[in-house]
Amino acid sequence: MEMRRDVFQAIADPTRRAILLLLASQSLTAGAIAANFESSRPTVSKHLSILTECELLRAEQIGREVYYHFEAKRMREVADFIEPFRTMWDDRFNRLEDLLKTKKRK
Amino acid sequence: MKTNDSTQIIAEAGKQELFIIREFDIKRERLFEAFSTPEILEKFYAPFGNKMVFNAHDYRTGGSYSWCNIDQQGRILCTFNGVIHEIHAPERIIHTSEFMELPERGHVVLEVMAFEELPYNRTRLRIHDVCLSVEDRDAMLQSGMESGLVEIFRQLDNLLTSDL
Repeated sequence: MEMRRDVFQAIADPTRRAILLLLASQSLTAGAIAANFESSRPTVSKHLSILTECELLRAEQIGREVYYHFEAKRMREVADFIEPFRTMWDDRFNRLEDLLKTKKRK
Repeated sequence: MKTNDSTQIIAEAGKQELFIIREFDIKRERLFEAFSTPEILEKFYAPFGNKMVFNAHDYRTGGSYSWCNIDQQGRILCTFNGVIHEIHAPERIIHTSEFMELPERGHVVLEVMAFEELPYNRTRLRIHDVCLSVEDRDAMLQSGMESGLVEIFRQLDNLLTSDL
């Protein structure tokens, strides 16, 4: 449960979501990732360590460089992040159905 | 809870669109009326016990609307503005919607609502939302999460206040 909340916090940040999108198609070094953002290198590093801690990214040492890989399997586990959105619509539709059924009985 | 009455969301990763699909045990004309009549929309549309209040509405092809989402303390949480491209009773509503609290204008959503007649006076509603970017689409999906958190904080607030 606690882990799940951490993951949601991780993907709630727009820069971290952008990093995930960038790495979804290719594995890159921290430097190459930072080059895509206006944020400072240490800020990007911080985001990378948060995403790595949540296992949304995996760091791999290749020669002198550390490459970051996107963990697609892990991302699918949190794919239910749309569940609150679904619940919001479901509640809305339930209210409508109740409303129209009550009116019908009158 | 009847499982066939639950809402389905289709949102593929990396796309600008999403679908919201639901079947109702309601005749198509009545369902269509509910989504095209401001007085009825105000009774069910606002999420989490909030109120939907129209600032203006002109529900016809070529018309427009503006409504506020107001919390139980009467505070305005956000405003949605849009224009109505087509109202074609009882099968289709096409309109735009813009969440006015964003820091910049122009992040508009195109929404197509299709009402499909099913046997036994049932109706399938299929809402197709198209955003300007994948980021806009994802932000919209997450808005449910944010509102959900707002609701949790609000309940917490109420709990703490009632303890006093």
